[in-house]
Amino acid sequence: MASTALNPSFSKPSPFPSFNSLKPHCRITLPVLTNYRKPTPHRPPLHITNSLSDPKPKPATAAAATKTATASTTTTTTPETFLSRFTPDEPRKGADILVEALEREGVTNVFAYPGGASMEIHQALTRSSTIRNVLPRHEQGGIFAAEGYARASGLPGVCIATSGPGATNLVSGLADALLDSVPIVAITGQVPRRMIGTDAFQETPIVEVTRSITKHNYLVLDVEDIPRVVREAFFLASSGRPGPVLIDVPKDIQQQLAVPIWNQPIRLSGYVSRLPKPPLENHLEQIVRLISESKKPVLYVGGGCLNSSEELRRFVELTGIPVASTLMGLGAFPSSDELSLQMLGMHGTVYANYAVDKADLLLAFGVRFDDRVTGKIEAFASRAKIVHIDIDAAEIGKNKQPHVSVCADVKDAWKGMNSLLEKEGKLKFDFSDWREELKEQKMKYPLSFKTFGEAIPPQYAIQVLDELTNGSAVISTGVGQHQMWAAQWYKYNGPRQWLTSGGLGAMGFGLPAAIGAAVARPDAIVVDIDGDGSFIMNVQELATIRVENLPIKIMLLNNQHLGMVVQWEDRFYKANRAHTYLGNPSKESEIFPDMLKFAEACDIPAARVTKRGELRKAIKKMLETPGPYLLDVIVPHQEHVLPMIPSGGAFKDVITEGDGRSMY
Amino acid sequence: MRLGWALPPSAHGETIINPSFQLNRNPTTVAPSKTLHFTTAVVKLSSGFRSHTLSMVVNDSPGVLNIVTGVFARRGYNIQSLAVGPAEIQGLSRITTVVPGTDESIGKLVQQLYKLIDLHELTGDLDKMVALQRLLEPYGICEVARTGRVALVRESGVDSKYLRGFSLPL
Repeated sequence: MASTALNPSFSKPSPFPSFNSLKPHCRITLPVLTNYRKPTPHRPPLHITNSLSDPKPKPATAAAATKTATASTTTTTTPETFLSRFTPDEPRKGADILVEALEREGVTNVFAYPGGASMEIHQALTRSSTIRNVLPRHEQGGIFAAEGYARASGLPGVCIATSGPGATNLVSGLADALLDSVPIVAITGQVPRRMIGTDAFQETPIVEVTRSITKHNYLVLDVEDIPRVVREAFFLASSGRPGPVLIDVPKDIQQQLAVPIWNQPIRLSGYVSRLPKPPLENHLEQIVRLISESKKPVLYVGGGCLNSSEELRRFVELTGIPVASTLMGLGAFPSSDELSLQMLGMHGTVYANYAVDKADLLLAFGVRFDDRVTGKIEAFASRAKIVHIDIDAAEIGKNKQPHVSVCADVKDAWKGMNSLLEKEGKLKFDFSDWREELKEQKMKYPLSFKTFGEAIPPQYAIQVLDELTNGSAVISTGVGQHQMWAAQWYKYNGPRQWLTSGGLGAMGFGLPAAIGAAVARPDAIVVDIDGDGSFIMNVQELATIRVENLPIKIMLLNNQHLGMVVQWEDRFYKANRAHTYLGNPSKESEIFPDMLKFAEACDIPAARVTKRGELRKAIKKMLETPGPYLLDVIVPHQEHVLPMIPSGGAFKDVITEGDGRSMY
Repeated sequence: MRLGWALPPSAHGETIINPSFQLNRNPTTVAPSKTLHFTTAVVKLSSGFRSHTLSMVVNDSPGVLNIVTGVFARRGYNIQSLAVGPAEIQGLSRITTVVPGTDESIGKLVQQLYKLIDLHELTGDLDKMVALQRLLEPYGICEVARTGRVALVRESGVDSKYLRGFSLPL
């Protein structure tokens, strides 16, 4: 889905020889010829082997086999300019090898929380002059911060935790990174090898636990493997469709002395051979032809476009096609642009969903047809031909069958299409009627909210923040109503400005993610727009913010409720409150918990604002105060996120009216 | 099984064009193989549900079987038959499975399997057991006993797709 974000220190591998072509004398690759079907380029080659029928393989065959199994790929490793703290043949602890391996990957920040099984790594970290540790106050905060770092910078985020509970606390973050395709390298301590499988103290089989929520994971069983495993982990995390990779390192390996071999080749022949190749020009020509034949095209762009923002802008400039973005894709195309339809989907704008519903051509680039976007899948873009470009072959046709699909990095696809469009001056597109039609919809159904007396509409608070920061802040959020409002009302002008837990929807994401963003981009204004429910889930990270003196602004939209669930209760459960009130039922007139005291406990300046008239001044003060700041904005809990297409609904089911003040 | 997805489209930066979109082309008719003169057409259940054989070459290390079967389990596929053994190359194992499903659902499963880092190679539906049995029949078969289904790529490269649909013998 997302495009490749290679670690700068990693030199791009040359096209690897395929696994089979390495042993020509033992295996021959032939294209299959069948009688009933025309051979096509994507026909699998059939591998014919004679090695099984050969009882005593010739020495050459055996040698080749070993070669294939051990060293099927070659890559140059670290730049030669790297200065090690150790002389080349000096034995050092496994933990030191691990830390140096991180240094060689260009890592400058880690989010690590120590424990018995990982303290060796922390000891080694203190000996590193280039890696700084930001100490979170909970491992979940650590991995969410690493995610914030990765999302804000595009580089892999690194977090380290101890065995057992430390490792299991990483689980939500790994799942989140997998669903949102965020490059993460998570390192966990493990009990010593001899104790694995004995139910030892703080032992969990974390490799088993995280198997289905990581892109790949490793249990290091040999100290010699550390350089290669770390290299592979960073390569896997950031290549193809990015994702989290976990490395589990037993404590005895961390302590074992060894002389590392840094130029070990990576062993990912299968994976590398399946990485998408650049798109073929005639496929792109076909897409351009479809565009020229269409009258109502619309772009549906997602998280896969975050690295190709420039190419996207150029493409829109050349074609004049309006752009609808997913939650993950916000910022890839500037929200304030005239051709932006903003977000589509369940809480997307009416005009974005209208555009997809009425379109005759849907250009789905770097997206995965998530249910929160499509609603009723059969009704989604039912009038359109669908072009799907994605880096992950498994996404193509998973939920919706495209008419034309290309498995490639969208960046390459756009580059190719743009040059085609630039070359063919004769292709002039005129979608002005379509744009007029959409403009009409924009006028008819703009995003809106109502104001009740001096109560602060939460949408208004975000609108004011957008104005005061000129749409340039890095925004992180928790999950729920405030997240949707932050997606709708803040106008993101660039990619990697919007950090949110999209696929997993993990509450408590906002505060630690802001930490990661502030570490990755020290000069940016970082604002965590949070809800009272989400904020308290990782409130302990206030301590981290104070200690690291990170200039993070927290704008808390506090409605004393689990707002999104309340909204669903209002709409679909006759407003029956089922454990969605987060205040103190015995003192309903008071704000509970007093978030300002959390801030005070961590020595962070804070203020509360309850009146609309005072809001602008309060936000200004928050932004002008140096260092961290918490602004507790009290908002009514009756507000609903609108527009809303109920789960599994179609465009015609869109709700644009009402709130918790009326009954349904 | 269409073998179209037996290699990831990614491998060639592939464009796949849905046949329904292409000028209502007639569905490809299944022609009998020229190599083996069987004229029986493929018997396909109306639901499109049938068993598919997948043969995988994976790294031979602890937990890999778990990784592979985990994909089947969490995506809701039920394995009918499973055979694991060392591959012809040291350090690699071959896993052969039989999974019931529609061509489309198995196609999606294959795409998910291709994401496994430990997977080197995946080939589909190459079972030759029926063919072998037919070949041996003229010589007289005393008894056939089967373990888990085993499939290997045959040297001639002949595809036996048309054999599918026959119930398993014995």
